[in-house]
Amino acid sequence: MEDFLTQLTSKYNFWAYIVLMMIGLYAMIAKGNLIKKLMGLGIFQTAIMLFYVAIGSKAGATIPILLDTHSKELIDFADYINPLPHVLMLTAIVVSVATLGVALALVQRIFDVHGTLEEDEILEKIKNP
Amino acid sequence: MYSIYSIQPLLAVAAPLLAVPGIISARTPNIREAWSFAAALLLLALLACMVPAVLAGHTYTWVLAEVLPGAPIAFRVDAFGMLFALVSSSLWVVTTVYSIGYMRAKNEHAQTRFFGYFASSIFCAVGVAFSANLLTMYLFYELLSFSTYPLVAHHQNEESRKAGRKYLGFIVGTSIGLVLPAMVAVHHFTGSLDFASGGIALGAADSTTLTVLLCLLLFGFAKAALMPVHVWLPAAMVAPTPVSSLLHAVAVVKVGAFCIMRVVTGTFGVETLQALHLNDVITGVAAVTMLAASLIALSQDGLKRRLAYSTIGQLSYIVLGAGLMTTAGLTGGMLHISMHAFGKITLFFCAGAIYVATGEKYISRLNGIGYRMPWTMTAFLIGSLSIIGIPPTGGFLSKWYLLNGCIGSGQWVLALVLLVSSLLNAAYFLPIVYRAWFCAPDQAQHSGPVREAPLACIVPPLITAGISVILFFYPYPFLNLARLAAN
Amino acid sequence: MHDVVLTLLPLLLGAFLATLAGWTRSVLAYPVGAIALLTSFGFAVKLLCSVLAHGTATYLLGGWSPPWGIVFVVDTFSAGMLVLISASALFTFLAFRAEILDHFAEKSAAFVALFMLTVAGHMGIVATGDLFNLYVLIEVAALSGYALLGFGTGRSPLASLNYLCIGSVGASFYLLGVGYLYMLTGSLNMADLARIIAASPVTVSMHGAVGVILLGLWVKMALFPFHGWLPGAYGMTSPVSATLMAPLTTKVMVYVVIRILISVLPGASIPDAIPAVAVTLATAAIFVGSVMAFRQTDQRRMLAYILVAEVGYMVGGVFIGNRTAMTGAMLHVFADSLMTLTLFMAVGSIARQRGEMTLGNLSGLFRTMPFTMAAFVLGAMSMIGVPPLFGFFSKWYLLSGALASGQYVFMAGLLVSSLVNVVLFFRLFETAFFDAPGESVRDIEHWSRVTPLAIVAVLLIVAGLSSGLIVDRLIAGIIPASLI
Repeated sequence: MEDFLTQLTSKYNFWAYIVLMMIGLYAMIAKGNLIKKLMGLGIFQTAIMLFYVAIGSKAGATIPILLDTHSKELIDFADYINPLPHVLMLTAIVVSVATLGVALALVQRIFDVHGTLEEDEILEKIKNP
Repeated sequence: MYSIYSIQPLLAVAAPLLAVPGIISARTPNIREAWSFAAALLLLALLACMVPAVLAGHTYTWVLAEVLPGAPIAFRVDAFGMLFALVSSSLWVVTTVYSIGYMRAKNEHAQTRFFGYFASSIFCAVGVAFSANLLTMYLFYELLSFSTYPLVAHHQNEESRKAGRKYLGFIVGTSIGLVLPAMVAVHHFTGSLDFASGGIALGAADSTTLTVLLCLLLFGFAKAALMPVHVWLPAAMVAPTPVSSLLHAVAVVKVGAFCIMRVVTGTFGVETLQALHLNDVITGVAAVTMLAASLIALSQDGLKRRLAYSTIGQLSYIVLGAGLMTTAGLTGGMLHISMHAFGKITLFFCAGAIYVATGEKYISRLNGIGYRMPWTMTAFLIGSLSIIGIPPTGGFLSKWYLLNGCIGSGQWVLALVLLVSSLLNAAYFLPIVYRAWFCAPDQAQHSGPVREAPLACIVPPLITAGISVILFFYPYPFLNLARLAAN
Repeated sequence: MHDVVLTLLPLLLGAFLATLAGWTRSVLAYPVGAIALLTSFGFAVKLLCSVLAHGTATYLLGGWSPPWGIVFVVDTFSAGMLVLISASALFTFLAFRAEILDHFAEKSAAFVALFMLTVAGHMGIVATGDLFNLYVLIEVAALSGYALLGFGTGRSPLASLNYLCIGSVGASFYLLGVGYLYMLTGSLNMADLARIIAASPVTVSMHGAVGVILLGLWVKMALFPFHGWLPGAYGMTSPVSATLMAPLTTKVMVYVVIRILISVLPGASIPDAIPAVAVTLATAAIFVGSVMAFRQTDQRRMLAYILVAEVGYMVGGVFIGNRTAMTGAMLHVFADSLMTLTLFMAVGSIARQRGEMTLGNLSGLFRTMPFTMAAFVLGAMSMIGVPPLFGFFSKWYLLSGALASGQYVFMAGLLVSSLVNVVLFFRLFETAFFDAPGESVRDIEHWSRVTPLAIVAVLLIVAGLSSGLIVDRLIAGIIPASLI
């Protein structure tokens, strides 16, 4: 029991990301409005991005930017958080934005054709044209 | 006894296919038919080149493509394959003459498609004959199924649609559902799919597996029409008679029987099967089919349907020969391929000639037709005698060998089945002849003067009937090949 | 060795130039696209020849060496895939010229640009050797794909949006799994990961990482039960988009799974539950795909469900766990791609003449469009598994592998699926053969559509006869020796 509680409390950030992912998935599945579905997708993807960023963090470390580039002192990498996941997530953010762009373009087409953004209304209109 | 590595098998197989572009692009019907004849004669010439070496006991081989480990697409011409190829190709020439007469007299539609698919079906049949392993045989077997479908469905009406469904359903269903897994299993156990004279080392597998494999292959090659996968054959009679005669009396059904005999002798091997008494399974199934088909034939009024059930019965003779596993039995079975082919094709040609001349399809309406169509009915008589097995026709010889094979291995029950079956054959053929010539004048529906079918429809059956008689006195090409193959 | 990246660059350049052309002189967009595809195909063939002669080709992007830089690694299997993808796209582009120019009118330049991008994305997926780069390229291919699939009329934007949501979830799961792997090993380069994983102890986190990655990829390849997006997306869009995407996306995702299993996790540390679940899902996919295909009247949706079953073939082959089945799966990637291309191209030509692809509308096609139907028959027979067409040989390896491993239900599924395919295709052939065409039917077969279709259909026979060669030269060397 103690182990479990320690697990729960020490890794609370990872649990938070999982909760966020589930919220995003729930929104995508349960909500009828197309825009709300896309918001759910965004939340889902953001949760994964936060997870990656959390990978790079270290206790007592600072952001990985060198202020003084001329000194010849050796840098201890333990003082700086890992920049690679941040870089990867920059790419992922771009992908997420592009996805949102394509999705909104498709939603606009759907609205032009069907005149509504509610999924069940659209399916009704398709079944009974 | 050596094997000659030569491209001749491939050329022989490809010869019929070469006619297809010519047939499709021909501008007049005569040019189109000329292509069929040219290809048929080319095929016969190529076969004739290979016959001497094969009769001396050598084989021709050629590998087309190494597609699977242990199973290339390869050709091998041996005595048995040559026998079947000779039968198919010689009858192709005769059937082309007949088809010309039939199709033009009935002014049939889509004749180009007909002749084109005919040629490709012969290509597949010769391919089966010259297959060196189970994979190549399966390949040409499948291509034959799809190549004959447009022929069966030629009339493009509701009836042929249903017949086409039954045809494909039984033939493709069994080949994909039964033969393919059996092939995969054989390859799994032995690593090869070749036909070897003592069978490949399937002895490694246990007896249940072997029994299952044998049953899969017996019923999987549904073109051999063993009961209960015979249903497609009567249904396929909706096709025009040239199709029924060549394909469903000669090429397609013989392909099925050929495949079964090849698999029994080349894949399983006589010793393996005899050790497990599986030869009894084969002869049992053959005997049941023989008797049941003959009995059903008795009740059929449609002439072509009666001939169809007769074919089903006659095919099981070949399978019976394979199951006997003695030299005499195997010789008889292989010889029956040729004897039955010439006899049955005569009968189908006559049925078609009757339809062309009078429009009749039913036996009950053929009273007195011998006076109107004497030549046709003479040929019919000779063909019937050959199927029943009465000398001096070739059918007697093959039945003689089969009977010897039964008695020689002590299978008295099978000998009895053979005799009963021959009696049944007489029982369903001779009444037709009787009706044609000997019915009472007031019951005659047809009478003289002689108004025969067109010449192109009478000459072929007379030729094949004549060959049936000649084969009694001079069976040596086929007999020697069969004897060579059976050893 | 610049050929690796030269297969991609013409496409990216072509996309850029096509967009420019769209703003200035849009007639130039199509020729630009054709030249780009042709150049890309040429380089892909050149690359295949050099990989066959000299072994695996690598290319360091930006000159940075691995494991910090992104590296492109092309072995014989990848090179074959590159040729296949570029050829498939080229044939589609050339055959559907009329649709692209007339149907999409003022948007044709945009369509061409998206076409280039998605092909570039798929080719990059096949060539890359870095896991995160793989995610980026998956999304590049997918996003342009969503846009392309939205191009049809009627319900296609909705179906594409559905695909977008499900596909993005799948890609995100893949990304999550890569994150786990990065946490555990500190590397994203495939070869480096293989080295580290082989040396590290087996842990639950590793299993979790593998599981999540596979889950994401299964969603993207439409494995049952994640196949819901496929029939809608491919069945309702314009024929061009369907013909481009159908032979590519699912097969390339199967390629990714194979690549990860072979190059990153060779024979190591996969819990037994995963292959067992995979084979069960694959068998279910085969049965469900076949049954659902039966119930469709729209022939394009029927083909889409057949695709669902084909995905089951490939996933089953990959996870059965012996060499023969893996060979079958890899060969089936090639075969299914080619067969799907043939079928969808033929259907696209028919749809242009007849409109609705319901059975009632397809009567008399053998008489009016003989060449198109001949190609369609070849594609159908390959799907059924008739030798000597390509589809038979991959099916053989799958059956053989399943028998060797005792996976009898999977074997039965393969055979049942073949028989169901016979019925499905012959339903269409019956209408096309037996029923007379309607009064107002005026079908034209233009040579520019028939020629690419004929080439692809003949390739099915040629590739079938060469399947021994393909297995020996392209596939056999890739499977690790530890897989028996």
